[in-house]
Amino acid sequence: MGQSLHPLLKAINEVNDNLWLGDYERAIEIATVGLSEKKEFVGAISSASKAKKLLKDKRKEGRQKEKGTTRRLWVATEVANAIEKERLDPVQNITGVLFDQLSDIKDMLVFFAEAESHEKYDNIDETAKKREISYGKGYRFSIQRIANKWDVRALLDKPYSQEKESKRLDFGQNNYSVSEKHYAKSGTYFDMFSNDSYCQLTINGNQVTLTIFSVSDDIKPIVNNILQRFASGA
Amino acid sequence: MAASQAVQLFIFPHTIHVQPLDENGLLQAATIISTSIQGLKPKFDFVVDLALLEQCNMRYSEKQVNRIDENFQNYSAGTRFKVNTPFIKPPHSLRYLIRKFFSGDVSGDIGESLFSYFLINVMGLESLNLGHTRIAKRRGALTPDFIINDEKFCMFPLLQNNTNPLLAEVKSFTGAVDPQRISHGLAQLKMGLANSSLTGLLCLVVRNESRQGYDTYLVEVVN
Repeated sequence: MGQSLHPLLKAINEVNDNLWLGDYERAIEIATVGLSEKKEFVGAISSASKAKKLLKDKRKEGRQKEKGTTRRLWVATEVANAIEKERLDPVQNITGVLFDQLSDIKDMLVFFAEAESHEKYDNIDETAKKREISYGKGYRFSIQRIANKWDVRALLDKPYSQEKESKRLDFGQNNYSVSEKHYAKSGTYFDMFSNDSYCQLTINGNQVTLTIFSVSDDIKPIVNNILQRFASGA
Repeated sequence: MAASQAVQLFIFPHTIHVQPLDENGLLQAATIISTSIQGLKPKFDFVVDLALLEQCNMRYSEKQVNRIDENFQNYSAGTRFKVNTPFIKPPHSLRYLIRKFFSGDVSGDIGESLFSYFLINVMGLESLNLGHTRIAKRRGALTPDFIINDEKFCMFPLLQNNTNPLLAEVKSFTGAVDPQRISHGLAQLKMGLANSSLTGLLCLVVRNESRQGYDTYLVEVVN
């Protein structure tokens, strides 16, 4: 794989993960680092730009020449032939596309950060307000109250793996009853009950989603208690 | 909704070489695929946990605007719902990043979610190594639906040519399997794989009416 493609792919996914969590500052940081070695990507950007232009030109030509259902297939054949002729490298092309995408994401985030500093938050819908980020050892999480439930999103520093499952503490020790667990290779799902709360937990890779119904007004201790078991230090 | 659902995986037994195929050849190959997949035996079944599938939907589906089960309700009711847009409008050139395109048909959601679920939770691909590049198509870029950094060669048991990266196109069908749409997937991979020895995956997610569930077909494509 192209040396520069993997870090870009990872950076875009990490930025998206942090946006999902609500950690915009971290998202901008990751995007900035990912884009810092621009000179490394000059060839890839140029390759992506050439491929894009080829596709555009052939689509235009196709609209004039080919009618009906085979037009897309004609365009594909022409573009593939042109790529072979010009010896464009597809990995370079995709690297360039990813670089442009990450660059656009960063521009977007910077735009929102600047725009928000001039806007009054009072006008923003409740669900669009920023989520406060909390930190634990090996994880970060954000909590939002929606009607009568708590929506918790967390990112683990290291992804969940089923192999470590046996090392985790028994939730029963903390007065939780755990429903039947569902396992997949990189994730798990189960429900938990205690005297004062009900929780649905989903882990997929490094993303954790918790939906908690609780009589308590401070659910951070409950969240920390659960997340500690799945974080890398557990 | 049930907590889990079994999905059957089928592997198309022949590798499709797209380089020599012109538009008629692509259509013929698509027709052969659509007719011959009906007689295949499943390679294996995998159980899909719907809560985990929902997370894949959130993370990797371009057209998703709500949860899959909520989409079903709206789809049945025949209503279009509003897409959440930010309070402050960004520059025009960047809006493609925040627009989730409405799909009245939920099959696109299911196909992309199921494919990413299969890679991550069945084949063990790390989620950060799966790139959803479909969004760049909106800007006219030449890119497949997914790019897979298969550094641990997770797909090795299923492929004859497991390269890194792998390019993937996903097509979903709730009705009859349409050769025309399969040919569009092959065409996209033909462009993506040109001038390379990379492997492409065409993933067909097909609603199985008799089983009331979905079947997944993988077709290996090379240049």
